[in-house]
Amino acid sequence: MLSLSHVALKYRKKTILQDVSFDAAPGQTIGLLGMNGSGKSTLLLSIAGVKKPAEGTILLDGKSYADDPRSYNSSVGFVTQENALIDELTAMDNLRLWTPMSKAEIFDTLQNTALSALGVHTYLELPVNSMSGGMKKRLSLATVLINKPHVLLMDEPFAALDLVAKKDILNFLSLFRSGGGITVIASHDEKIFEFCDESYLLKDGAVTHLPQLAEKIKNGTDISELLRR
Amino acid sequence: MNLKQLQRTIFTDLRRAVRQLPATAVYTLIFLLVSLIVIKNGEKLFFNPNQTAQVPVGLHMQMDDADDEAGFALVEEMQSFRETLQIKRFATEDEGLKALADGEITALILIPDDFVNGIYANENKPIRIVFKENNTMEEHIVNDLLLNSAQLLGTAQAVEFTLRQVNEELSVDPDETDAFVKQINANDLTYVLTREGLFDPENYDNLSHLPLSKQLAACYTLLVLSLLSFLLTPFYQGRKTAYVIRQRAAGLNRFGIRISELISTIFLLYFAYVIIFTSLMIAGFGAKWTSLLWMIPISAVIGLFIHVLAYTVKSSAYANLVILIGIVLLMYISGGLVPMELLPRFLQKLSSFNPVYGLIRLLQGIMY
Repeated sequence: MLSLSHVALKYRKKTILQDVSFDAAPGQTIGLLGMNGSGKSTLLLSIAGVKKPAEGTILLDGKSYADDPRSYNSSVGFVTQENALIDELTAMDNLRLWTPMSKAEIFDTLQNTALSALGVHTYLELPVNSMSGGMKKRLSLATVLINKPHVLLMDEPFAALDLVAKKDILNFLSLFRSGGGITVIASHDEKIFEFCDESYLLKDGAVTHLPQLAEKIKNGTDISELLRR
Repeated sequence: MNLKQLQRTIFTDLRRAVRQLPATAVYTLIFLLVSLIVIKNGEKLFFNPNQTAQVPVGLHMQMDDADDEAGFALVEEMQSFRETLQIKRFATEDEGLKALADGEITALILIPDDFVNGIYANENKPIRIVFKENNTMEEHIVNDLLLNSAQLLGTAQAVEFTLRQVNEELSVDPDETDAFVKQINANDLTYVLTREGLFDPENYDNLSHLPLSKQLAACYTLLVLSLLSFLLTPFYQGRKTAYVIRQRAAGLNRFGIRISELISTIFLLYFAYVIIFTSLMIAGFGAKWTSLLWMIPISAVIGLFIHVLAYTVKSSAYANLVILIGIVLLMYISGGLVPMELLPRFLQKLSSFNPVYGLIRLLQGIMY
């Protein structure tokens, strides 16, 4: 269980979010909607343990990052908006940076687990600078998921992706969810919010719950209106 | 800090560095080729062989007997001395030192009392040469001339000649003179006089006596290694914010990331030095083998500098500008691009405040 309780975040002494509270149970997907600069990425950084909240607590299975950083790090995977890949190296070299597994174990995990939905095992020896945007995004996801985190944080996962890549990633997220994984996604993309169990709007430093947003989108609600209001 | 993540990051950065090796080799060889042309032709480029001037030099020696007078007259008449040095005699050492301090002379040669008799007695009395505090072109001329005089002309032969001349004037039996000469040879006088340390220079930077080509080879090595930052600065500035965030989420802070990058920089710089070392060897300016060992800490210092530059300067274009203007200028006033002795005196004085000057001197000492 991931629990945020009265979290406040500051950037250079300026409060950018306050009183953020929500819970995410195993298997749940949470969507964070907000304009650029609304604090979505900063909130994800805090959940990842990279940025300490100014107030409030973030607990994963009852423990904060400060209680046991190593255990917390191994339980949370963060897929950043920009990829964290090293362009000159191959997919395999990039994967080896983030996991203690051997090459054989990495290949086995990518081919014979839910990660096979990403298809990364088919281009392991390709250098990153020869990959398409979709291949890079799938590899980014694989570098995080190779360590089997319980919580997956994704910042704009669909940015600049083609339809096939989006579909592959959604397929994988379904598998991750059915395996009991918690996903927190920050995005502008309507497709993502159709997929989320709960969604929250980040606006003017406050966080508002958006109940049944997925159904509303399916019924034709334009989410850009929510941002304009 | 997560040490296992640090270890994985170091290996990954080294893999990345290995992929930079071909580009590093090409950069190094291009810079080196240009440098070698200058090193090979340095003497012709920097010095005009047709221009000569006499250097005022003081001399103090006891003139107790005819032997001393004749010896001095002989030295003064040597063509190489006559063309290059204007010798002023001083009755006392203090007078000579005062003239040196006043700038009347460039160097003071102090021949110890009883020098000639000392030679016969197989005593090693060094000739002191006192230079002014600052290195100048003239001091090089004096020092080189004296060293070469000792080695090439052989003071032994001068003494032998003097002895024959004096004995002739004194109507000494030629057979007796021959016996003296034999005694001199028996004492291996030539060896005694050409041994290292016959001259004992004071206030003279002993690295400067390196041949110009070797001085320049050391300087250009530093220049080539510094210019590698053209290649390495973008290498680090290519780091994405996302990468840093991921590393922090994996338990590795910025310090750890930089340690790992510094290790791969040292690896690349050292690789570049191996190319430089091999090329210099082929070109006939071979450095000492021990320099291969010493270059590891030197690479660390240069790597640290490149690293600081990569992280403090906003873009690689600015970084390259800083290198071109800053480093090349610092190297110029360190005698790194042209010999220090050719620089104006006020720039020579600035060298003591210039860290690059120290680095060049260190590199010269390590390589030669």
